[in-house]
Amino acid sequence: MVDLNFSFVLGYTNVLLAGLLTSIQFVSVAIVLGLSLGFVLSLMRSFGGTILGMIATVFVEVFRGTPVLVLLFWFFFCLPVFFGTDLGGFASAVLALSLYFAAITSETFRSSLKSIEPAQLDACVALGLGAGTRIFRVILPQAVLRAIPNLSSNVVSLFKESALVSAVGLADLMYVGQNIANKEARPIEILTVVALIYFACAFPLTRIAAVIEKKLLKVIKV
Amino acid sequence: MAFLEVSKLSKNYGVMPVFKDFDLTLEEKDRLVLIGPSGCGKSTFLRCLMGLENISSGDIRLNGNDYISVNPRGRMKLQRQVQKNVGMVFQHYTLFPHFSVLSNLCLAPVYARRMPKAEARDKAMGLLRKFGLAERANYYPSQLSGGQKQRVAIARALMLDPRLMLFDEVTSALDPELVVEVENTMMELAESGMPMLIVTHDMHFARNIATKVAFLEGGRVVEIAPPAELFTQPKEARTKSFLKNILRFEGGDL
Amino acid sequence: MNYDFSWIIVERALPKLFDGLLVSLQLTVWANVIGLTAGFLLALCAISRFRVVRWLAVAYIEVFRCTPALIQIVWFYFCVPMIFGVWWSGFLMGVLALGMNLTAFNAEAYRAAIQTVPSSHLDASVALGLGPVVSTLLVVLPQALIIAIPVLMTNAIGIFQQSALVALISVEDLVYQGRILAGETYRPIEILSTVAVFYLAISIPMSQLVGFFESRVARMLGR
Repeated sequence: MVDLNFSFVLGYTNVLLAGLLTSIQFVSVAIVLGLSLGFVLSLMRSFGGTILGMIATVFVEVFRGTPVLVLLFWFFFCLPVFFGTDLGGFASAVLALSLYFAAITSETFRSSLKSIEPAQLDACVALGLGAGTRIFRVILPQAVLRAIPNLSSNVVSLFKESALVSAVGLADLMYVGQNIANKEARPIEILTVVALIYFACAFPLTRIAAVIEKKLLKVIKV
Repeated sequence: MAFLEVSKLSKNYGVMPVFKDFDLTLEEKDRLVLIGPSGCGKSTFLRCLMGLENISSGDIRLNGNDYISVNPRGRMKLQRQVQKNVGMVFQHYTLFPHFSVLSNLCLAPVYARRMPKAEARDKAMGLLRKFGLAERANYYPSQLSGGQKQRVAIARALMLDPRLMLFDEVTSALDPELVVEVENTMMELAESGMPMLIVTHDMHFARNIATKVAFLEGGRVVEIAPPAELFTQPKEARTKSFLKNILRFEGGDL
Repeated sequence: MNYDFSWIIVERALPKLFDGLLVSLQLTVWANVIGLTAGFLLALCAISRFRVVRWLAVAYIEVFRCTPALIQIVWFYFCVPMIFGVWWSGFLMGVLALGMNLTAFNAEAYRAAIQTVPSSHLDASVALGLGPVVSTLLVVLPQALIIAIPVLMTNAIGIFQQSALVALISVEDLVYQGRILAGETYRPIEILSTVAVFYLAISIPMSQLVGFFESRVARMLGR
């Protein structure tokens, strides 16, 4: 067996945490951009009519069906061609992650919109509610509430995909871990710790989603 | 001139006719119960009256006003002002699950009728008190029993002061013990003079609440008469056999 | 902004890209061989009566579902040789890592499917005199497997996309070939777009198939 020595990892705590912070920053930006775009896309697909619906569908299918790594490389290698300058990994990372998140959240919103029973729309007619009230006070709030469980698993997926930004040279947790592993030639300890850090962040997220589902949605029971 | 006049109503589902030249009138003091086998168009008729379904031809007038009509080119025209006078309660409560009982009641008055929030809240609490549901004002629908939900649905419709109330099998989805409280509420509403159209399978209740009972089959009125007459001396053969089966099922006669 | 999209570049790149695609598909297929079988066994462990077995299974599932596939692949590639003293190819490491990853997701799929089969079926078959073991095998499992199909297919598509990661451990899959060619030809747009199209050409039809099976399953469940 191999002799393992985990203590040296402690010396790298700051570096690892800095890497984690970078990962979280990318994820946060991607969430903000991706959530808004994803929401718009789902509205386009559900209510937008044929043309808008088709555009949104094509967009979603492309960014769901292509591996995030391919998206990353595409932006990383192709954007400089369009803009004439080398942009570095940052733009491609933000674009790839945000567009990926937009695609998967649009699916989440679309299915939650679809899950609202037509009978509720009947009630809106019977009560004489106008379109604005119907959409903004009856349908959308319920769609958002119903989407929460899936949205939280989408965030976990995004967090996992964020490890890819290391492939374009961005100093996230994965990149930092690999660097240390190379430098110290001790991959087992370092990579295991990195994996544990990812786990320590992702696992609670999955549990929080379950708790929210139980407490909030138990009362409101959308 | 009757309170509700339906003339020559026709509706198809695709190529299947649901109604063809269907006529019906209702006076203001009437409470009409529609009975008949499933799928004969009773619920569809109510939905047409609420403006939830398209009709291919026909005329509906409420209180002398044009309500729903079809122009020569086949396009249906619905007067929203008249539609505001009709209220409907459905089989599956359809309370908005993300609003409390109070908010459910106040939503339409405040946002569709521009009633001030305080006024709507007072009116809502008054109705809830009358229904005995005042302590549940801040509960969410998921915390209520089926019977309570249905009564809240009735209160929600009453908030808009309808001139005509439609009830589409409102007790069919309820546990038997919860049916009574809803039917009692409907009886109280009846005693206050509200014109109603009711679709129900509960024959005893129909007998008690109706001023007229109509037996529908195949999209047409087979027989229409006051309940005492229809249930004890049905004239048509189909009515007789339907009632015989139903009453055998319900255990006894009326 | 003028750009001359050169189809000749694409045409010339096709043979190499097809080689890469073949590698990606092989990775996917082998990973699925592992994932479909081991996933099922793991699911059975996850619902076992013995607390330790259940706990270990759930721990495995959570670890592989809550960590990035990339770190799993990289960990395999660097650590397994060190721990076990074996020197296997990147391809084999990729298959193992992806297979173990898929096992976790499929175990969840199988478990959810088993629990979706209405317990009334089990009750009914026991009431008919079939013992509990036979009931499970003949009544519950076949239905569970059918219910699981859409999710298993979705997971398979997911692994096909995750297989792109092996390019980062120098396995010559589609992405790897694409990146090399993009560098050689100085034409990243043509090459990488074609790479994306290859992935889409497989993912999108498979998703349509999933939708088809989903509606069949829903109908079977009487929804």
